[in-house]
Amino acid sequence: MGLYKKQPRILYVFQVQPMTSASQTTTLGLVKTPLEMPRIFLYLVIATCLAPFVISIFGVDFGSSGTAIDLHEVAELAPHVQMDFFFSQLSGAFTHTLLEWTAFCVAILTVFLAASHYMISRNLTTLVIGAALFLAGCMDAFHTLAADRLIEAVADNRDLIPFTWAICRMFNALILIAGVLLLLGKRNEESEKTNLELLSIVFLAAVGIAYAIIHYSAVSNSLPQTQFPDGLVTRPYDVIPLVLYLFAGLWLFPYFYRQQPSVFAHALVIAMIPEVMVELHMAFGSTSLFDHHFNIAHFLKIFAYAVPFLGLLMDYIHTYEQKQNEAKARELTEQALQKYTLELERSNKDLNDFAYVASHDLKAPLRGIMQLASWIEEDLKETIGDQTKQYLTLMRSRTERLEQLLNDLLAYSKVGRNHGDIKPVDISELSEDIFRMLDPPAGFSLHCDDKLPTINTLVAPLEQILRNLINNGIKHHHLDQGCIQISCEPTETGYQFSVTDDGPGIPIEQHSRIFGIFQTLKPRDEVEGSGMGLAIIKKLLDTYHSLITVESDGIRGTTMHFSWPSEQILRSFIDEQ
Amino acid sequence: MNNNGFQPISILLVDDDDIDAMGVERALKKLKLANPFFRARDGIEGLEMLRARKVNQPYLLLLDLNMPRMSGIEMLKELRNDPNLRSTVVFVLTTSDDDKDKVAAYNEHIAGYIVKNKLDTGFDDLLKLLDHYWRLVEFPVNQP
Repeated sequence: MGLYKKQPRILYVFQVQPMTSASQTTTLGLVKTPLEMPRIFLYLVIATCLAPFVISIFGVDFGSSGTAIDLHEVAELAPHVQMDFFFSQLSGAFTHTLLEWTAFCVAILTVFLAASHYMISRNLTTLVIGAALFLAGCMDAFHTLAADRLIEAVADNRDLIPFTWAICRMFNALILIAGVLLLLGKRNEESEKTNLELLSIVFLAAVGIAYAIIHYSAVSNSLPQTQFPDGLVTRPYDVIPLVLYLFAGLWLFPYFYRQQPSVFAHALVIAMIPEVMVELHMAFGSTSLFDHHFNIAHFLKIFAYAVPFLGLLMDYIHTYEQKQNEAKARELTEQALQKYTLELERSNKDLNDFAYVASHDLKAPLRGIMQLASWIEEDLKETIGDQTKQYLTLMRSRTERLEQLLNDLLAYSKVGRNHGDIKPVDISELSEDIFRMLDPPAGFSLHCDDKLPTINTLVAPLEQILRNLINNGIKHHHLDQGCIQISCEPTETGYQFSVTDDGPGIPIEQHSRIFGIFQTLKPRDEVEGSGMGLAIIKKLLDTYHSLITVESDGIRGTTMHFSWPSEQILRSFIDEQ
Repeated sequence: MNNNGFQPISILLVDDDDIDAMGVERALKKLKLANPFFRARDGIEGLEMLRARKVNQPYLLLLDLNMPRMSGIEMLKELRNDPNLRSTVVFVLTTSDDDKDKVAAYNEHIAGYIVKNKLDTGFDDLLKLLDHYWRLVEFPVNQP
């Protein structure tokens, strides 16, 4: 062994080839739905965003500012008329509240839908953006409650509303951008659980921050001036969110959509149109509370929330369709697989039946030929010449070879039908028995490793494998002396056997075909053999899900490594059948 | 009660292969055995011959397994169900060395299962064995 140990060795691993056949593949009717909002939706959004502006060209005023009235005059009026008067004076605040609260409601719907969407799709995008929108909605809600004095507020509404509005808009833009950046930077390394935990912490913290900002603004006595009715930019604070929305709408969100395309991401891009329109109305139009542009902006803000919500709905439908398609495809695959399995079982059975019947039915006429040849030889013993005698001898040897081929084919077809019994067997004793039974030429020896174990196993197939391998080592040896070595190492799932000879080796390019049926490396007239030995081994090992590998440089020596399952695994195989 | 000494044992070969039939006849001739030889080509023909008492008593049966119309195992079952024939001595002579066939045959109480492949020197060995067999072994007494 030491002689050729240094030479390069090629390890060839054989595995069960997945059976593929063009005719077997079923075309799965997967319909790929486009990952974007319908065109018409985009047009409707643009139309709606422009509509208030266009309508106002025709002189319609959406403002709801009450006319200034002397309160002393009001005091003279009857109480219920007074009440009506106050209500009409508060119409701006009511409109503001209704518009803000509607937007907040859409945000609530969005986060619920986002959560249920996440449960189906496990796609973090909807959850993160849904949560971001909800946070923005919450801040809007705090802003409204403060404006309506429903939570503690001391600041003048003329300052508080525009200021907290601007803060809300900034917060809205920033949290959406932060959410998208988070998704863009997200690695898939973290588990789903960590993602969710992190998200909930961030979410709760953001709610706290949102409330704190509004509370701080509401109780502050000195809020900065936010409205400049005479300037070109009437509310300069709104320019900041405008820039942020433009940045998000023109660059960040489209980039995100390209990176992680989804209907929802597309809707997010579209949602930037109303957001920008809101800011344009506010920054350049609104000069006082509850005026024309103020109301349009608040109305469009609802719309800005509604667009992602609708996108989420579309995505929801899209995901549902996809899941349905997947289920359909799975069903089709299963059907195809079942059909394929049945066909495979049938063809396996056919093959076994064929091999069995063929070997039996072919053997009968073959025996006839053998008989007749021997009778002819017997009857004409005295009269035929040496040439004819040689022909008859050749005829006999060929018919015997054919009989051997048929016997081995029959043996091959029977592999795996009977497992035999699990018994304790001493590998070294078994190998020596096999070696002796094969009756090798005097120059051959068997060397068993010292630590060959005694194992509980299926003796019959293991013996067959070892016999075929040892037999090959002797039969195909190029010299009249040689040594066969047997080793066996325990592994996690059983044992790893190796049978090594110092024969002529197997050329690397032949490694792939030696396990086929009726494969020989030399003409049968030179080395008598059916070429079924390794094929039978391969089929036996396949039966027990084990592998065989050949290691040989084709110059000298061959080692056959094969795995053999543990007793426990063998028992599970037997129980399965 | 040994009537073998008086009457030679007949052989009924039930086999569809002509060469095998020739082989048995050849071996009989070669060993100079004068036992009456009968042949049927399948189980149905074999049963007809036995039921019509065309085969001289006493007799033994050499039965192939793979045959057209009625296989050897089917014929064995018929034999064992027939009160007149159930005691027939049967040797199975077949090319099949399948365990299933062996078990099925021995379940029908055959005297022996012989695989044709093992007969390298034709049927000489078989006939020698049978010659010893009927010299030593008592045959069932046939009902009238």
